[in-house]
Amino acid sequence: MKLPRDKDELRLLAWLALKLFILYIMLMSSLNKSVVIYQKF
Amino acid sequence: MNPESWKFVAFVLIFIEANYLAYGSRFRGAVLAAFNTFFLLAFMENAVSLAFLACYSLLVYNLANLLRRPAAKKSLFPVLLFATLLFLVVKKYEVLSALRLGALLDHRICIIGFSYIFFKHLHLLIDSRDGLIREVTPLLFYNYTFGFYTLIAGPIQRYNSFAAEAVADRTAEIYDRRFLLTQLDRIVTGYLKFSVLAKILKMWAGPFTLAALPPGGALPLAKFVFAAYALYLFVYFNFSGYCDIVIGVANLSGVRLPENFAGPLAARNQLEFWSRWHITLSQWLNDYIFNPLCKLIFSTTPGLGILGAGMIGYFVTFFIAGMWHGNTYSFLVFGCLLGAGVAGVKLYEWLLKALLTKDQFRRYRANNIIRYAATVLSFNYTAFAFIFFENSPRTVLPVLKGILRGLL
Repeated sequence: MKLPRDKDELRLLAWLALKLFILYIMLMSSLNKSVVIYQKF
Repeated sequence: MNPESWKFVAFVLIFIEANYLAYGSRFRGAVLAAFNTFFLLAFMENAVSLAFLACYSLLVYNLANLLRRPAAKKSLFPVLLFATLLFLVVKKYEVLSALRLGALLDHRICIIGFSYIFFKHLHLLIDSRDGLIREVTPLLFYNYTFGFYTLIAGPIQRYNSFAAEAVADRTAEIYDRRFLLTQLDRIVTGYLKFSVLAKILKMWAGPFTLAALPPGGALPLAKFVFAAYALYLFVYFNFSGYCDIVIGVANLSGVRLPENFAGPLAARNQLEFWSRWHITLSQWLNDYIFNPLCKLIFSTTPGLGILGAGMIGYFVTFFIAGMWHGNTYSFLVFGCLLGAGVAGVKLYEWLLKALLTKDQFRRYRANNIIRYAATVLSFNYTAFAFIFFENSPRTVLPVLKGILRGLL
């Protein structure tokens, strides 16, 4: 997949990468225990 | 299959790929059915539950088709009554024990997401009777009932909307790079809410669990408020995050799901809150409980007037909404608080209209200070009600007593 040239798309891609990085860091930390409320339903 | 597990991520990725391959062909529905079956089986606790669900769904499918016949239209009420009793038994509602029907609760049936299936089926039966649903085909019914997007939680989609999405052609959209990035962004944001924010908040709400409470339930007011806020925000981020994930995944596979949240934390009052929180549930309640109930009250006891009928209608509707969320007595309290909140807003609105002129009422509504104060009040009320979403009254009442003792 080629990198987008559009500025908006690049910004979106950068945000996505940052969010994925934060998510990865947080999931690798102590937050690895799952909490789900749907089990009530 | 936990939404955070690699199994779930792999499942979604394989589904999206298979859906791309089958998109536009007549196999699309069959591919979805195969993935739905896999997902359903992953959550099935035992064979008894699976057998029950199969028989129950088959019955609903046949009844939905039967109720369209003019001769069978009058059978709707007993059907709904039976379905509701069955729901209470399957979900093991504690209230049945109080009604000396506790023996019915001794079974091994455990179906995650049955509350959603139940509401989808009630809608299917009522709308089939009313002629709003023209045809219920086996494959569509199966995918509608067990659609993995919304099986365990998420928006409550209507059958006609689902049927329209099943044949909709969104080829241009799903191959668009910007659309793809936007949906991926939504899914990742959903995971950040569901897996990060919600978990942090759940830890902060820690004092609000039976195990963490000090003996005698003594909890300082500040801790109580903090824990209550954390608990409310936990439920919000957990559920809205999950909805973001499934709506994003559905969009990537060319299916539009209805939106379920629209900034509920900023709601001005409880009535507005329900137009922003779990929107599809509110719409369902409005169509199948509130409207028919108000009509019934108004036609049988016209003396109550529009206000009386509306207040009773709101209370009963949101009491049921609270009860739908869980089978314990805590949800009875939760439902009472939801019902009282909405009915109270309706009464307050009526009082304002009676006391103020039209112009004064308009200025009252437009006043920003009043709006902010009302929003803060509504936020606090909702946070208080949500305490009972996770805690029993036995846990909460000693804490409240302790706080009141400290204040007086």
